Amino acid sequence: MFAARKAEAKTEAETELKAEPETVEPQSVVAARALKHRPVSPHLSIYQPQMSWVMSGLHRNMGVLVGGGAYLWAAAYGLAPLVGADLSSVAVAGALATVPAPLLLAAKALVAGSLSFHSFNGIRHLWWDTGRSVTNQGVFNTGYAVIAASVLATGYLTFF
Amino acid sequence: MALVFGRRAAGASGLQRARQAAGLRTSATGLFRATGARQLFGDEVPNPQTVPQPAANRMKGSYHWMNERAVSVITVPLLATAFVFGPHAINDMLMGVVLPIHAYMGFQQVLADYFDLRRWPAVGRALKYALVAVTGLAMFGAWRINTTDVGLTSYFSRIWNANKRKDDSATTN
Repeated sequence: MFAARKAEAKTEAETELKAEPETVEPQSVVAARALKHRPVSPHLSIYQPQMSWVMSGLHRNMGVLVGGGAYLWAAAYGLAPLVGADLSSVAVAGALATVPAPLLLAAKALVAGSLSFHSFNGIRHLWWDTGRSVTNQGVFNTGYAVIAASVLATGYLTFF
Repeated sequence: MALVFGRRAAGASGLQRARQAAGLRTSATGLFRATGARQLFGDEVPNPQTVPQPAANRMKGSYHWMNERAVSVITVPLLATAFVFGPHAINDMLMGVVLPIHAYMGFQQVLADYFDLRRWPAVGRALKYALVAVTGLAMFGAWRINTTDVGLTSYFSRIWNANKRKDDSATTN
């Protein structure tokens, strides 16, 4: 039954092609190309940036950044004696003290921002998981609270 | 079916043709009709009662979701303790176990989204095992920081304040 339909569609498309060769393509060709060029889901660039999904994406990316960094650092500490590297607190702090101050401050702001945003937004997620603030107004209110808390915490951790 | 295609051919506007050429939209509803069970399986439609169901697993599905929440909820007081009260041996030891599990569960979701095993059979599996290996190593590294160095909180604090120490030495010199 399915095959019969396909064949019908094909002959139909072919007759169209004969009638108007330069303007109409067979639908099967169009569908095959659509499958090949299908955008990654979710297709972010076609959406207007909005607080809900931008913060959701930031939550994941900052979690990957700070979590992955700490993760790899701890793993490297475990492997350090094998390769003769010294990652002790004294050695690392001594090495970092020679890094130019603006560079160090920028790195600290990045880490502090990622950690504080992921932490506060994580609490926001846990709050949602209890069924509270799951409204448009609630999403905006908690979102602004998280942004304010993250900015304050980032400034404090970076400069004090 | 014939009607659908005939109408499309006659009424295809310039915009529709441009979309066809772009290859992103077909706008031919006939291509995406719902398929009935009988069309898929013929006369031998499977009996839902006999379709094998996955066994209940306390690490999967809604249990997995609850496990993730549990790890996240535990993370909050651990980090808060470290930031507010400073270093403590028991807190450091707990963080050395809970934070790698937290990161492990987070990266599991990332891999599930971007390295689905049906699409990435080899790479996805390799990354899954690599994640387990890095998690184990991270726990080991955290344990070594806690036992042979100054502990996780103090370690982080020392590295974090490396620039201030430089300022102090500059003023004393």
